[in-house]
Amino acid sequence: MVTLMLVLLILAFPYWVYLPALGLSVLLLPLYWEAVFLGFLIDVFYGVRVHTGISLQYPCALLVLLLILVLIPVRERIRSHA
Amino acid sequence: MKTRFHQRNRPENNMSKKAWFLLGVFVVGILVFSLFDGMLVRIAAPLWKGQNATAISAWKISGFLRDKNELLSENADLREKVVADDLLISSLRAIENSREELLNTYGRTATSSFVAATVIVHPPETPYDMIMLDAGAGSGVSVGDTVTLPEGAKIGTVTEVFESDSRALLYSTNGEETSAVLERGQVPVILVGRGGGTFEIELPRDVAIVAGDRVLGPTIASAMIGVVRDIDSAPTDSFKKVLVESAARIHSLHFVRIIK
Repeated sequence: MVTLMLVLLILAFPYWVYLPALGLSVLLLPLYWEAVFLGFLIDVFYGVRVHTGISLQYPCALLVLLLILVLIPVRERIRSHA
Repeated sequence: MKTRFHQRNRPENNMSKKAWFLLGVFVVGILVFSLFDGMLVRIAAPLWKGQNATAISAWKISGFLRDKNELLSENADLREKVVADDLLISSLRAIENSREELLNTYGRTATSSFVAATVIVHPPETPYDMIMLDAGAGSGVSVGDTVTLPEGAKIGTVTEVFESDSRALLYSTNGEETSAVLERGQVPVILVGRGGGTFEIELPRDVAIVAGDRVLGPTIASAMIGVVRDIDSAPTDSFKKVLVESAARIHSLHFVRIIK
């Protein structure tokens, strides 16, 4: 459901709506790996292709991936087992 | 008594599993999206076109609901704008005619074939200064073609072509460098894109320039690229920074020409 909403936001709204929404979803949902695909979608639709390597071809997807990777240990450390 | 230490290692194993899973997702994403990017754009293009039509209809409907005085004032503003635009168009036509006469004198012609296109996606939908056009390879568009406003000002280059759509990068994209000439003094300059339809030029202090000066393309058929908006120079600096605004209002682009 969240993914569908985000796809609609990406298709129809300005970047200052869908980028924060995507960031918030990654922060709030546990291991929201679908966000990587949404990053790819943003790059395919609106990205500027710089043909110097994968990392520059899909910058948004890479950023989302890095954000989720950084959040994994953070979540483990702040998790309460009470 | 038997002691078990496995519990302590579990979270780390779990974390590395998640990390590997995510890397796998990324690799799969690269493969899938690099193979099907054209198809995805083809699927999304009708939605963008429909969205433009919906926005226009909504705008028309909202007109009925607006205050009468507000409409009268807007009407007066628009009349003034029409008069100003008419004057601008006449002066541009005069410049165009004199340019063609000049080119004919030197045995060159300014004629070129072009494809008219509608902008289906423009900033702020896109985070970069990129536009999506509804003309593609089927209409004869190819990579490297120049995109101009209907009035003639150059605004960008086609970077990617699909069957019925194409993607163009505007000269004002952050970091993009474009050769140009300052109309005043015919000084060759490099425009550096700053995003949001603006450029920056670095000029020696002594070069004369004022706000409102035009920046033209470097070719013989030099079309306008932008207009000088602001000049920033400190008394101690040997260079000054010039802010140039693109001739295109990138947030409200509707029609463009793709010149071959």
